[in-house]
Amino acid sequence: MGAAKHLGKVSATAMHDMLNVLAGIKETVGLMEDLLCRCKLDAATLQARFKTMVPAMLQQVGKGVMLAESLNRLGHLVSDDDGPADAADLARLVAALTGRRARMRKVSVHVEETGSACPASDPQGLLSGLGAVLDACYATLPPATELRLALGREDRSGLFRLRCTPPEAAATLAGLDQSCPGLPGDVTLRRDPAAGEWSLVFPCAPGA
Amino acid sequence: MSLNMENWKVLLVDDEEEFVSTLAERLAIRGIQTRTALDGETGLRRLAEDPPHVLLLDVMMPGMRGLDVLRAVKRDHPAVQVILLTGQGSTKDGIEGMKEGAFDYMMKPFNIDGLVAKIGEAVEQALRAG
Repeated sequence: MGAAKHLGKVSATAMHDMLNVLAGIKETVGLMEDLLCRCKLDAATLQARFKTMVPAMLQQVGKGVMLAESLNRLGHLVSDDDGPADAADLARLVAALTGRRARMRKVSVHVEETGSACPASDPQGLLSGLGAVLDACYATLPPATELRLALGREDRSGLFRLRCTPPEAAATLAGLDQSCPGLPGDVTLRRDPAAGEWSLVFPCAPGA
Repeated sequence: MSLNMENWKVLLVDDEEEFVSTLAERLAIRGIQTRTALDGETGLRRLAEDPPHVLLLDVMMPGMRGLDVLRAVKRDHPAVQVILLTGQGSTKDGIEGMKEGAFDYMMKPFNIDGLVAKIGEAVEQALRAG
């Protein structure tokens, strides 16, 4: 699967999430209209009902805004050539956009930073690689797994170590490299045989 | 053979809690009493307790997937008519569901009047099949 396909899948997952958000808003607005036009409710009852519905709708709007902003950022990162981008930011972006797939599998994803800056020199490649790896993890990890992407540095490279809670869940990722062939550019998967831990390795900007 | 709307038996299975409660209330305002479940396993239990005429079924849910629920329903309760609800921007799951025996599918967000009309057609089909 090429880079464009990985990013396409990330976008499609986010848009699916967005359609659910819009469906929720549409039904809530529709219910408000029904209560106004079809039900003979007094003003106080109507007001009480609307008061309970507005927070739910605002919550949905907030989720929609988050998805729209994330998709907008993804679009700019893919189409613009603005140089290196913070690797932790990119990982959080992909995790947010693929959140629905994670929820479907009851898996949670967290990005852990070390504190030192790690600018990915090929943001598009890393986005695509993260999309591929997370997709494969969602398909494989058992429900209730917490997946942590622990960011680290090695000379000119950055890496995300894939750590699981409970740790035994990591065993299900044994064939991860087979599940995401064709990673883009210089983005690679590496397995530490001693720790049984996968790392997604990517080039960092020179001098960073 | 036809039934008045208030005698239609509808079961709605979707993992989006707010969406489920809101849609069920909108259907109730139109005279359609709807039971609900938030996952496929619970949905199948509710369906077995009192089979509805129509099952409104989300395709993508955590745990048991919608298409797996559909297969179980068509195997054990073939008269129950299934309308798939999907938020996906493609018709792929809907078409796959139709091949597996779904009555029809609707893409979210949908029009409530369109859904009510579709439920009516499905109830007629359930009565013929039963």
